[in-house]
Amino acid sequence: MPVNKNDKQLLNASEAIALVISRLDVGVVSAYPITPQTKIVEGLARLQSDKNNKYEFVRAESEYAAASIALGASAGGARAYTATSSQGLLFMLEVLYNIGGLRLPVVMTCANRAISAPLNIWNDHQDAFAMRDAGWLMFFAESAEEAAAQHILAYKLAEKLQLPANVNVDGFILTHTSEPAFIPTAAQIKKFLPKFKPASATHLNIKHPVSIGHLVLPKDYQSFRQNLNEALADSATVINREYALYQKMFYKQPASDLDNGLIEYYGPSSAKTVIIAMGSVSGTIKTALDEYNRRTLHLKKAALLRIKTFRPFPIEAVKQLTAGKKIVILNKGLSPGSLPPLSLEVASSVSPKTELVHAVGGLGGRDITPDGIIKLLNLKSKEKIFFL
Amino acid sequence: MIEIRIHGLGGQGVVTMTEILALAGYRSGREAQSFPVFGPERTGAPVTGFIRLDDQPIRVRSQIYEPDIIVVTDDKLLAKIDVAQGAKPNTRLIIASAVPCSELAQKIKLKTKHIICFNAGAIVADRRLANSALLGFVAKTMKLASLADCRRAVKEKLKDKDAQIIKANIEAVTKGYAGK
Repeated sequence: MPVNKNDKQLLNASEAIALVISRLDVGVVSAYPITPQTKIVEGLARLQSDKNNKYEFVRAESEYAAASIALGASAGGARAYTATSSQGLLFMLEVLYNIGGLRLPVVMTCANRAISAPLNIWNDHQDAFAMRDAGWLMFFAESAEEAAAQHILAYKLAEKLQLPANVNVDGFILTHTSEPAFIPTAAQIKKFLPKFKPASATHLNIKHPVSIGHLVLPKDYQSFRQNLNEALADSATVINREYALYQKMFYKQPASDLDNGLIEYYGPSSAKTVIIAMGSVSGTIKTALDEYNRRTLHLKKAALLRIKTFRPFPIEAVKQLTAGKKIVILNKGLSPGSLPPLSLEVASSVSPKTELVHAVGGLGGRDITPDGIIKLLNLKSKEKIFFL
Repeated sequence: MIEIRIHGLGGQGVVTMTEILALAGYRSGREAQSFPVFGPERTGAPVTGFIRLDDQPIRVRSQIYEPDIIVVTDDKLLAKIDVAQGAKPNTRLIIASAVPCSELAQKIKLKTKHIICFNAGAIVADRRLANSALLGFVAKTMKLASLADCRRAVKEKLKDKDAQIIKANIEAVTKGYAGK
């Protein structure tokens, strides 16, 4: 990798995200502080005093307002950003659906945190799962460096595809953990993500008046929603292309079928068991797999399939990379009364004969250890959900 | 891999200390990861900081259950929590205290030879500098970072503070590194 230690700084994901947002020519930042997102917003407030940073910073009176301001700014043709967590995201939800339906290229960070009740400030993915159907691209980062990269990619894709993008970073586990991270400079970013020039008739402009967000009658409404559905479904090709470009530009490394914009496959292709997960727990899984595969007979080796985009869900990659293998799905969320969210996605992507193990872990910050991962690998398929 | 657990009390700069020590280790050539674990945040409650240092990039993100080094910033913690929890036979426990080591050792379930006592409060003029002195002492005793890297790390992490405060902390780290 051409990125060497001298190019890296010891940062937590909050600092990494604030830094990268301040470097990509955002017009409006609007947010309301909530743990564990707070450090991102504080960082952006601090960085705004730098004379090179020209974004408007709006400390909104609530998350509902923060999302509405981002919507308005984006509808006005500005590059807009917001960030939230947990109850804040739930409070925004009505606006998030509007942003999706209006096809506005807003980018939002979710510092993932458990949902009340019971009250809990620690990490899981239940907040993100609540916005599943809002019509947003949804990324999950494994590290501070990847979180920064996904924000740059998010704007590129959002503006190309006219779709909002959400980047998920695990609360505390990423937002409060310092680790080496490479953050491209403003000049480097500009080569990948040029200044935002919204296409005409896609934003409010008094010289070329358009109407945004009007009433749509029954004969047309479904077509709008169908278009949104197709835009998400078709986005995978563009995501992979832009990811490959990003890898080439910043890492001089080609993307591949095992590491593209949607997924990362880690471990031997001959693995008999594949664990599917999202976000920072993937690092713990990789560590556990290295040890497990070193001690395990060739025929029993295991691998990780990390989902980078929950929306669009990489149906084809999941199907191909898990064919003939046992799958263990690690969910950091629930859908009470059915299978957990990630399990539902995987189950509908693979052949009905596939051996599936549905696991839930890490809710409300419960620690997931390498030993816990090994335990999951050895589970047999059952109807019941296994709670780690 | 070297795994470190730091125990302190909320409001005494344990999180900052954890980040500075990790940064000093990083500057001295190792890969580094550090993170705090909070309970419900309030002043005076026990706070734990974790550091991993390794020659390889660090990917594991679970908490540290069997640390190689345990640092206790305040002997009041001995009455609140089991600071020796998860200690391995070779784990070193460094504790900042004015109480003689032999007395403290009786309160900790760990063999005496593995407990190192350091009277950090005695070598600095202001109690608020004690953690910086302890940081210097730990870095030196456990061979985690050079003095120059410790000083640089303090300067970098405290860059938004007053020049006086930065200077005083650098001095405290230097005194701690010298062990006096």
